[in-house]
Amino acid sequence: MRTIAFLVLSTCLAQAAVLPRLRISENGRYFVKEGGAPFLYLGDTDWTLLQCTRDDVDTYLADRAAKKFTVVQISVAGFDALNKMFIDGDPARPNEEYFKFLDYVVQKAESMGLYVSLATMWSNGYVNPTLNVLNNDTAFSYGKYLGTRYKNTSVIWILGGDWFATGFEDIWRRMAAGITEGDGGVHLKTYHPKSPRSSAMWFHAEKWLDFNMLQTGHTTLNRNYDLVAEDWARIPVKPVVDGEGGYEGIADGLVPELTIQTHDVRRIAYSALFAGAAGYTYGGHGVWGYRSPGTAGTPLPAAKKKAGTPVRHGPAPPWKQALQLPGASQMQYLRALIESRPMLERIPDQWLIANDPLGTTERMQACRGSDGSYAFIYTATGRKLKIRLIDGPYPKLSGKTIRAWWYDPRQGTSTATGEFEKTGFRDFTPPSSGPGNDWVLVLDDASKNFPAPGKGVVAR
Amino acid sequence: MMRTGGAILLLALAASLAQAAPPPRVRVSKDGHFFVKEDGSPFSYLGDTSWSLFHLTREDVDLYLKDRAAKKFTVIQAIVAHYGGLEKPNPYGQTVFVDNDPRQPNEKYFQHVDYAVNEAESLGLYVALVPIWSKEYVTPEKSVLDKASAFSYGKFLGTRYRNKPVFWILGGDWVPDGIEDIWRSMAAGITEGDGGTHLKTYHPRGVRSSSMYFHQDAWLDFNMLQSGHSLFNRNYELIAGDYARVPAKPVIDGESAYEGIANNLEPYKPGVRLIQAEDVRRIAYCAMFAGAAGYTYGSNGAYSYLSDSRPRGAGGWGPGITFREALDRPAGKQMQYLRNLIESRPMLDRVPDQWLIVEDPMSTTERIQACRASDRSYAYVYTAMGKPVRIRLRDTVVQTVAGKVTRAYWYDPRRGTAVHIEDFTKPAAGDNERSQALTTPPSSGPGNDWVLVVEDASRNFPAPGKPIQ
Repeated sequence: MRTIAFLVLSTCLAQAAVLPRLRISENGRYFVKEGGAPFLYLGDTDWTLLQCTRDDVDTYLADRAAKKFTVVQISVAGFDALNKMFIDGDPARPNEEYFKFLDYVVQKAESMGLYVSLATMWSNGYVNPTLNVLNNDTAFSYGKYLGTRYKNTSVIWILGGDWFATGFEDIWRRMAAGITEGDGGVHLKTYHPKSPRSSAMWFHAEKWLDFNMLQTGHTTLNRNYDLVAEDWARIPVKPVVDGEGGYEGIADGLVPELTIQTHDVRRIAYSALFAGAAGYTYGGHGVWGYRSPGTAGTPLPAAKKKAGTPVRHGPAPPWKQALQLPGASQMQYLRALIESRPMLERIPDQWLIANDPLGTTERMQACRGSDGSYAFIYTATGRKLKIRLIDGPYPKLSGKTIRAWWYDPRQGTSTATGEFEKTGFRDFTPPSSGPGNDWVLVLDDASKNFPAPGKGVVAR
Repeated sequence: MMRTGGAILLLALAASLAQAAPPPRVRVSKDGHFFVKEDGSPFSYLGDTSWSLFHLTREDVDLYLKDRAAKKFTVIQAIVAHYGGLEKPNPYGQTVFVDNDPRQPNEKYFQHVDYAVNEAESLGLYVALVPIWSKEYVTPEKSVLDKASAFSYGKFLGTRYRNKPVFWILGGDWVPDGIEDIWRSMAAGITEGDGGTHLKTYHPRGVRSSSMYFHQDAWLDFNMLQSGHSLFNRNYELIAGDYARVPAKPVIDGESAYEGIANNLEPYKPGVRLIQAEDVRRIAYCAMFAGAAGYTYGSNGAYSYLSDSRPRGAGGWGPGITFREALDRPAGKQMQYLRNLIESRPMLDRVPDQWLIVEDPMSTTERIQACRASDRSYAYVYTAMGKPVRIRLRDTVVQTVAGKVTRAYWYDPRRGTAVHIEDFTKPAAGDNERSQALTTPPSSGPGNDWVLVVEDASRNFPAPGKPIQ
């Protein structure tokens, strides 16, 4: 009797520590917690966290929780980790010690309210035409091992990792099946592709793929809104997350003389969510590939692979400094904005914009509540917006009177600009313009009396 | 001798029979995105707009159709119950219905419709018939049709034109909210009449697609857009939306910015920006490269008039111009070069692919729009203002253009001519830096649009715009 009572008690304790399970919203577009409350996937990236000390893990997680991220994306198989995570590098024999440290990371994150997205086996390093360490059997057994081990924790599964699934589809299918066998399918799964691509290219119709993940490009020319729009249109409907946009401070992959600036990061993040994404994952250069304390900047996998190859990603600040890159602190203002209006009602609607919405660095991106209760229009360089409030016989917004605000993505503050009667078209000039002067025009059906943008949470 | 003579006679006979044969039926291609003829060969839907065709005199019908056939259009879009047409007679004093009762089509009016359809047929042209203009006569607030009369009128039309080269365009510049069933009844009536041999669609209000209302309806064979009489036309976004829909159906940009019309349909006064040939070309190329199965041109002054109003600045959206002048606007002559280009490569393999473009593809007036063959044998990249185009030849390990040697041309949408740039050997896999080619068009600025054609040289395609042998 005593034993049984103790077992029951320990199960309860374990469950109490676990964050609410995540599932897909009824309309198929977003994430919700058990109970139905909306969940915004706001990720930070530290693929190499498992190569850090406990102290650094603690520092990192505390910092990211304080900055209001909701998810951290890490890689189980870090660079050169094969012989550490598996005995003799054999995927059939996971190394208990290595996974104990992962347990620590996952539990620590949970205790701070963070979900952990686990990239199970980085395909750019380990499952590709040059080197493939998995077969169908080991993919299943390793998946089952992970699923079983993390069944009662707050994880999200990321298969793949910066590579094409072409030719390896069955390995990933078997891994997904193994994970489900282990965790009973309680945690969401996706696939992380090579840029600029979506998991949907290989797996969209497959049942195990709960949501799509994009990698959209480390470039100021990032066009994630096009990729998000493609996935938004797919049947069956699934949420899509931009799981890797342009990392703050990294060298531009397409325009050699440029580096991704804080305002580029904001633009890419706002474009993703307003285009219909269910989440966005930030990354700071100096954080995402950090491997050990005392290392200034990021030892680069590309540089390691090929001696003499020039550093592709550009110099990075030291790790602790990189944690404080301004974009990391500003992502919470995006979250606050999204949560301050009925977020499960959000639909992309570029036809709110009657002038040219432009592309990349000057992009304008619009969304609204499907019920017309609110609209957000982002302008990356503070350009004048011509907004279509009524579209022929269809009003874009509900109500007779519209309340307008300018929301500042740099500060998370808003300024009310007054109320007006709804008419066909209306021009709006942001408070400032030029590179880095991005603004969100917030239009509300005044009768809804929503809180100021970014303040308060509307529970829908 | 006898044998040879017989053969000649047979050939002559075959030729005359071929001439007499109506244009082949059109159906949807296997993959659902394009049109093909009965024998499986591709059909290019290159439309011209003549909403008022059945209100022209016989002489003007002849003049108009011959002109359009010579300019290589394949489809004429025309309204049967024209706006104003219930009250206002055609040049021969006939209105479409007896006593304005849609259950009683006026035989004499339809004899003139027959005349135009037959003339079109003899010139190898299809007519896309709008049974009744929704905006005027079938709106959620007020409709001259109910479900029963929609069915009977549809059946009348279907029966009458069963053996003619026609398409059916339901709707007409309006929204069907709440009256969807009227259109469904009309579609059912048409099918009852023509046995379902002709393809059907729905023409919506501006900046919309038929797919918004009827995509899942089995009678809707293809989608039609009205994409906007605006410089800021973004038909490529509407087409991308429709291209992704399941089940796959072809999509046509059935009405965009008419050449010579006032931008955004502003009331015309001197100084108002008019839609220019370059705007029309850009919108047409964007439509096709974004994945559309067809495009419909329109010229202000030719698309619409009632027979007593010459010169015609239709709708007050442009300066006065004669019908003849309106038929000879520059883009009206240039649309055939788009058709020629599309038809000079395996056109049923065409897929939209904006990721060929490395740089910002811009939007509206500066748009860059790309497509390629699904087997990567060729790619087209349109640049509206002749901006340099950097394309991905190899994307990490994925080839974006097949073959070892890539052949590149510039195609001129103003003249339909191509200039060979060079043949070059593609860089090796993994050489990301050199796997992108930056190419500068022969000229740039407003009106200097170009199409970069890149292809697998081993395929030995004809020069862009020249027919496939």
